[in-house]
Amino acid sequence: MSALLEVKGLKTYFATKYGEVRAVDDVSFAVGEGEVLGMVGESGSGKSVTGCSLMGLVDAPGRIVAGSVKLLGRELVGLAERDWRALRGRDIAIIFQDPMLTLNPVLRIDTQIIEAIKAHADVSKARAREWAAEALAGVGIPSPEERLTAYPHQFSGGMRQRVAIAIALLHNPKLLIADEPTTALDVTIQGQILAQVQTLATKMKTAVIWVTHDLSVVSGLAHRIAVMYAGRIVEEGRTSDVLAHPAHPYTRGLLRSLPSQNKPGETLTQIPGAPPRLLNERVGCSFAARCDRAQALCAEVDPVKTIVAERAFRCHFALRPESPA
Amino acid sequence: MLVLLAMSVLVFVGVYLIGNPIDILISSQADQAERERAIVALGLDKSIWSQYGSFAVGALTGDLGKSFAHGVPALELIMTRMPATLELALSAMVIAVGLGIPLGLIAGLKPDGFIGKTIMAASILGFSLPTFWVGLMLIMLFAVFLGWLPSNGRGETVDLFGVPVSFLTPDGLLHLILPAVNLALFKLSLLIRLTRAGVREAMAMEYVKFARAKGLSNARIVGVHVLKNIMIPIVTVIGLEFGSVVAFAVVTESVFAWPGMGKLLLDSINVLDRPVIVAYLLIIVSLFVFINLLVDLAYSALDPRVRLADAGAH
Ligand SMILES: Nc1ncnc2c1ncn2[C@@H]1O[C@H](COP(=O)(O)OP(=O)(O)OP(=O)(O)O)[C@@H](O)[C@H]1O
Ligand SMILES: [Mg+2]
Repeated sequence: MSALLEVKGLKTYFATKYGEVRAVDDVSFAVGEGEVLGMVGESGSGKSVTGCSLMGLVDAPGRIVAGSVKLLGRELVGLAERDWRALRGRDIAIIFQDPMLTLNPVLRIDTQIIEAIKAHADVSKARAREWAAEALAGVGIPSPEERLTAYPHQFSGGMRQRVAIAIALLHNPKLLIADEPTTALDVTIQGQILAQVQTLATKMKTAVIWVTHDLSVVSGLAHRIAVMYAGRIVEEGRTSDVLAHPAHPYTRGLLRSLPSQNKPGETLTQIPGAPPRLLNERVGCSFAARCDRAQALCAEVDPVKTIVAERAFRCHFALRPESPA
Repeated sequence: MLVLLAMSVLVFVGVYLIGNPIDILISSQADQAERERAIVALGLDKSIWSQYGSFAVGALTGDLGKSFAHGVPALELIMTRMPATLELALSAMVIAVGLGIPLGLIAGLKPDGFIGKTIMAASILGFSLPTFWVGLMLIMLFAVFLGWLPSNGRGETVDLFGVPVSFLTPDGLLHLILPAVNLALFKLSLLIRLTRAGVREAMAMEYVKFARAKGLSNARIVGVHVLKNIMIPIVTVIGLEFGSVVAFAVVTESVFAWPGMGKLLLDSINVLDRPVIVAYLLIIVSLFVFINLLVDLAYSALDPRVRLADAGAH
């Protein structure tokens, strides 16, 4: 797979009154055409900020301080606002976590879909309407023509998320960023949405970055997994490899805390402690304080990215593939 | 209706307590017999409750009593003055809305910029300076010192559907500027702040982020997504404030000698012309009730969530 998206050394910091919050700190990864990358990590690890950085949607006080984001070889960092506008919704699209908040409550669904169509396509009113109805039908919304004139509050949460997905996929984007789109929905709907996105993305050959804090969600969906911790990707590799043989102790911790990965009767193990604050200068590995494998070195030296076979990780004392997970 | 009833009792008793109009209306040289005759003619010999009773019966048939001072029906007297006040109040609202919303938008979109901060500083002034003082300063500056604008009366008027209005003649328009600006100032500040707060809140919402992610222009996001959301509170406030603009016109009308019903109220209070005072207050209360109704209607037109709830209830 050739690289569709290449992110190198991305740093997105927020200037706050307490100091600089390093929400995304030296993140590098690549996504191939049509590939699904699962991005997992605890709350606050910087997943959403990474996603917004890729869309040029980081708001003050945040800004991208360093790094490069290339889409099909074109540099996006530092792009003028009007170039961003031409790109957003056409080449890269995003869906957010809470479908209750994503759609504007006082605008009709047709207004919100048609404006997105017209932002990138010069079509007649009638054609735009037709297109909008097709898009709703495409995400499995029954009697789409009728539903077009409804307002968001007349839809259930799952239906609203489908509308958001329909809007995101209108222009057949090359990359879809799904920022925890199922977290706010109940389990059966979660599965439906998941399947829907998977089917559509495969059909349109759209690459997907699926952000979640739940490893089990991406395990059957993603080709590769990137695990984020404290603003960094601490491990990245093929999904099956990472799940079977995590290299980073943090990934292993995440896996052990999953009910589905546990044998019945065995108690679930949680990762002790809480993620570090992202304010201070990094000294040593940010996971060291919570890590059962940490040694003196970990508290002093920040581990660099190591690549073994198709696996990348940042750990001085990585678990070897053959050691039991 | 209940509001009107309660209000009429309160006003009636209140005005009764203020003083006896006979002392003012009848010259001190009048003899006792003349005095007695006047009291009976005005119906002031009866108890307050029987006075209220005859007033209430009259009010139900649209008769609010005759002015003590002018001898014409109070309602008619007020109605002849009302167009001037409404014209003034409407002009003030147009100024407040026409400037307040755009300025509030600018201040809300660039809260930390120089322009945004200047607008906010100015709105604080508009809030804290008393209306009559600003009115006097406006007269000093534009009428006395610069001599650009007249400061007294309505100027030339022309009939529009049988109602005299100033704004259609050049002279009348000039006369309208100062009092309308004076009356608008407070509401202008209010609208600036309201709009700014609404814009800032809406801009931080996720639907704005999603709208940006769709590749929409800023003009579309602000003009449609943000504005449509903030219009709900703004229309409510505009509606409610219109009533208070009419009521507050009393001060501005007296500063600029604008011959509206506020000026009439002041004159009537001076001579304790009870029927006029009562009629004026009843009209103001009816106006408030009526405006509330309109605001409710506008509200459900603007907010689809309210509309649906209503449809479900019927
Ligand atoms: N506007 C902001 N100002 C200051 N800090 C911010 C801002 N937005 C995000 N951050 C910081 O960036 C860090 C990463 O946030 P982010 O939203 O990317 O986390 P996340 O991994 O998406 O978490 P979640 O699973 O809860 O969505 C957080 O620690 C947060 O404190
Ligand atoms: Mg997030």
